[in-house]
Amino acid sequence: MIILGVDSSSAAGSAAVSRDGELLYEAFANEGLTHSQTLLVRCDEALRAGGVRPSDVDVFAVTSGPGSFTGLRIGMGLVKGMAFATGAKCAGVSTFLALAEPLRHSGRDILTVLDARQKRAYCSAYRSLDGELYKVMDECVLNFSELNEAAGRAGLTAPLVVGDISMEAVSYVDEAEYAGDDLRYVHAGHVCKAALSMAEKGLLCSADELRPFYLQLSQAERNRIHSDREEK
Amino acid sequence: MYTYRFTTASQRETEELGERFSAYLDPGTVVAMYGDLGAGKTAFTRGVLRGLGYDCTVSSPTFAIVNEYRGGRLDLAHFDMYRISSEDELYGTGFYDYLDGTMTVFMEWSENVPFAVDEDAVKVRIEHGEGDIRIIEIDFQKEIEI
Repeated sequence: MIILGVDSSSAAGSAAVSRDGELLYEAFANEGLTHSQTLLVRCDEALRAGGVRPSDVDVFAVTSGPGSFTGLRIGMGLVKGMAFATGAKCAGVSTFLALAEPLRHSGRDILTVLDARQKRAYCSAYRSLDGELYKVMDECVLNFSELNEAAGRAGLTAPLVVGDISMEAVSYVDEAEYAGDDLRYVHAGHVCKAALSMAEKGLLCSADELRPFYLQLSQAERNRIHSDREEK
Repeated sequence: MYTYRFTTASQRETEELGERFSAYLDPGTVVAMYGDLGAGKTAFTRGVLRGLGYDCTVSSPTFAIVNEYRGGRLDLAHFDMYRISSEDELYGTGFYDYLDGTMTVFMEWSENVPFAVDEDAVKVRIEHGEGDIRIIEIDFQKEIEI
């Protein structure tokens, strides 16, 4: 299975091609928000370097959010356009899952955090078990000061923290560990990997069905109210 | 933070004040503007743009929400927050993507988006005086002479 993975959910942008789970090529840049000018070029570069024609691609994968509004729309539009042209399937990969993906075999709990501004984090959490990632915290928005309690409620033990604000967020959660600079940003190669596991679970969709997942604050607040109720 | 107070007697003088003020702007400067309808927020911004070398029509982006000006001394994004009332709506304009430090950002009707105004933002408050007179207060971290 050939997958073209694309990420433009933040200021960094990347494109990668994988064949049967092996990464063939990845192009990553963090030079500012110019995705509309560079992302298609990066896809072309990845396909050429991987020796893959666009019509050979089985799955077009893209980070579907949360993330930069403009960035998500550029990635979505690009992937929808390519998949529409070739008729291939799409994978909308949660930005959180793409961030946790490199820790799939870590056997650890993983807290994924993205900047929601004003000392708030969009967050989710996964547990790595036997090479599988299980989501253990629904996507929500939290003040930094609430992170520790949320991590406790999700049953996280000494979580590895990933995402663009992981360096700041780590100090708010007991026994949490910074997962390192490389895991602050999404890399398209990980989007390919996450898409492969989604394909195995039958979670692909058509270009038409692909949707961005902005996790807007109002929605995230409702999620939080909902999970609070479940708690009681 | 320094606060400066100016009085202008006409729209033209408000524009000229904006033009002189533009010399103190940098890429990434965010300017939050406050003031009622007809106070002169757009006139001030028009003057700023002229000072940055833009020789074009400048109007309030009430419906477009944001107008971009590129190619002058600074690239400038001119927002009108009149129709914005929540963070989600603001996010959906792409506003936060403009705060990457490369663009100067002007926001009219900042009253509507207090959550988007950082402490270190420059603030421009324009109040009606008698007739065409306007009282303009500017909060700026820098010392300026205009």
